[in-house]
Amino acid sequence: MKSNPLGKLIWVVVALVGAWAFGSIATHRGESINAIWFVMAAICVYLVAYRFYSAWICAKVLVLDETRATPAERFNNGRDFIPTNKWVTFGHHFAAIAGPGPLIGPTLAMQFGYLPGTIWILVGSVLGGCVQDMVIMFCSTRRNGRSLGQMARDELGPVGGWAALIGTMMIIIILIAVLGLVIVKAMQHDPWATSTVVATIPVAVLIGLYMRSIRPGRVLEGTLIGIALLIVCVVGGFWVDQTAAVRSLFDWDAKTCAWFVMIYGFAAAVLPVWLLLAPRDYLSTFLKVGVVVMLAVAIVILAPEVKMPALTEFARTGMGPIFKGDLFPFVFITVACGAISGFHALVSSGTTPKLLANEKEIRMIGYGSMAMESFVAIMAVVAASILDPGVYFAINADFGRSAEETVAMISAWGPQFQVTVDQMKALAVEMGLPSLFARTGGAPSLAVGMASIFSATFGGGLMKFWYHFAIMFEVLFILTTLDAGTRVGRFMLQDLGKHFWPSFGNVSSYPMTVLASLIFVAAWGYFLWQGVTDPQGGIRFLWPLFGISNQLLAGIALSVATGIIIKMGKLRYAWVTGLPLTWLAVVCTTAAATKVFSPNPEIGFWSGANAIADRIASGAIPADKLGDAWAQVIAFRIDAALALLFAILLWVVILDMLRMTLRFTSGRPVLPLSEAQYERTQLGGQKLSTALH
Amino acid sequence: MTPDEARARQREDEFLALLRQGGTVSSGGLFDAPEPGLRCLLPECPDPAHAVAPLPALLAEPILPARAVHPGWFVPNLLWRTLWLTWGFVRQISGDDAYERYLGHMTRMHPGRQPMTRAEHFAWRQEQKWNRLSRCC
Repeated sequence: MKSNPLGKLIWVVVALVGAWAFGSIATHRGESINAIWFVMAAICVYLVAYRFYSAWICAKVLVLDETRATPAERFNNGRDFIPTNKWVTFGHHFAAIAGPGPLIGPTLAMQFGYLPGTIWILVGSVLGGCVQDMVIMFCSTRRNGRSLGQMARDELGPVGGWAALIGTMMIIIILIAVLGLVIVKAMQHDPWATSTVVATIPVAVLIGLYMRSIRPGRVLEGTLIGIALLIVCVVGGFWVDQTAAVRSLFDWDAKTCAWFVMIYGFAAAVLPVWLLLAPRDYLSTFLKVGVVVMLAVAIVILAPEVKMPALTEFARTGMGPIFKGDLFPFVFITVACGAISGFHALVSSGTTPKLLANEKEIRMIGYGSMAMESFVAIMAVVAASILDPGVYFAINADFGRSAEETVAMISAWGPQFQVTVDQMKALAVEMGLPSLFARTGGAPSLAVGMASIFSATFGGGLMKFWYHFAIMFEVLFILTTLDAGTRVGRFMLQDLGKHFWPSFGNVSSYPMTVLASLIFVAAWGYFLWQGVTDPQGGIRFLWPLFGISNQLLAGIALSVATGIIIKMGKLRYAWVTGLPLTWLAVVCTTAAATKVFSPNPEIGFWSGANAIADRIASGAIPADKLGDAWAQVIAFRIDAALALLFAILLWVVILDMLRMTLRFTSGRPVLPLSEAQYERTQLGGQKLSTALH
Repeated sequence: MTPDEARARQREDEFLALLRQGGTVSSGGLFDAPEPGLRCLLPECPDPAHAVAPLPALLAEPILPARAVHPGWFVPNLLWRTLWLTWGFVRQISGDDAYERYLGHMTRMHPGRQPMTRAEHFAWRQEQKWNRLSRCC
């Protein structure tokens, strides 16, 4: 790079502004702090990390070679291997990785105050998540676009391969269950939201028919009509809410909503994709990108005040009302996708590398789009923490008490947490809801935050419409993850099952499709049901379980990446992925051990199960609740086994990687690098030849 | 079916089977030493000779294939260019112009072949998109 004094000065300024903003957030103690500080700190951190750290990794560790032909160029088949414009690839990659996780996770993590979550989102993403996405994308690109599981098998051996496969399968099951629970909690006893969501299904089918038969392939037309219809659905929901005769039809309890979600997931997996899954994805992707951009613009224009304290007392006691557990490790487990998400490794390998036209784009697409995703998480932090802290806790915590008792409990925490029943009632009326108490899961409080931001920026007085628009937006793109995940999970199940029963693996057989989908929906449906029947809202144990599984997958991906870096002869740079891996291993193991072995029945699954079993034995549970109680005992024991399994899987892969490293450093034979042969690129023509000379 | 067609069809099947199984794409020997001239593996393309394509055909597709006519002096040039580029970007990223791109691919790589219709192409693209993991948490 040419020496440029002005350029250097600009970067010094960016770094100083970032440090100043970060410092202000970290040291601020008082009434409230402006959200602009969060935006500024985040943008500067991403810019500096992208400009320096990612460039250093690309130059020194990965040694990206822009003369090397990518798989997209070598196998260009016009189908999945297509050299694509880098901004388009960036867009596809971002749309694929950006899910509901970074909105929900940080919202829940706000129970510790805004500071721990914010620090981890910023630090974790630039040192961990972005690095993971970029390095895995690089490894896959050098290996003909192979998937994470295949790379684990080729580079570490069959043990790593199996662990990655099982890990992927488990994370999909837990992910779908917890996301299902989030939308159940957002829809229950809210006829407006429920009817809107139900109405989006015929809209999707209509758009599917439009794009398939009426005007084939006209995606933009279809999507625009669809978005217009979705807005009609939100308004129609208001009418349903106001019309007593129809209202009762959609006033569903949690169990009905759970059945709806399960039937929906099953239908989307077995119906042809063009009818329901694909058109709904078009709508939700447009909505997702649109709302995220709108939120960013609105936060900058409105500059709202963040009212959540930097640290709440639950950071110290670990007895938070939303989920129990200490700041370490549970803030890292809860934030999950906003900082580092193992799931991204599945898209960064196998899907995106088949579109890259040149290796050097890996930096922008791998590192850059995760930085964007992390920025979405920062916006979720802002949207959640502009609520009065008392209101935030009244919405997100389920004490199983009456409204008066709940506000009394929350207000007793301190002067910052004051909240009254009247305040909550007024807010519920404003949002068009019967009640806002104990709407757990993170989605409703996020929607309240978003609605206040949107109505203040783009038009007041329409608060309840903004609220239900936000709920519809959240539900729509959670449903996308839910049905795409069910479909992929079904394929994976059939792939696994064919080893035991060959005809089960036949993906084109309709009975087998139905059977495999049923099994897979039943698997996540079981965990969803656990959450729905839990008297305290379910999210308190399902979200940590999901966080552990997600961080486990990140650990597997980082192990594979570290192994590859070492085998490339770059042992001295192995810390680039080794450091986040070590941290994740510590976090994941501590969290899993705590969830399994903690003697506190509120935290530990095993002691929780025993506590219920003791109550059953002592006869404290009435006879008609006995069945439910036993179901919960079994459920907690299964959860304990699962958390244990996650930790074991992670350590199997780490030890496998360490074994390989020891063999490599002591000169014994290891599996060879499975990198594809160098082939010179023919793309880029003029530009590339000038770069070379 | 000529022997060439049968050979190409068989390679196509092998390729698909490998991709679907997620198996050993590299060690299967399929890609390690590709025969010259077997780059394009479109299902409707049984002709192995086509693929010795001229270099420009392999270039990454630009965002916009052609330029729109400038409406007149009352629209600033820069604004027009920006709008036009944005529109092209939106079309490409949403897949709205996927069929046009496919036709371009067909004319360059497989002149003289019958391309799929728009509806067939749309169905084919959707099917392949949703048979893999394309959405995260």
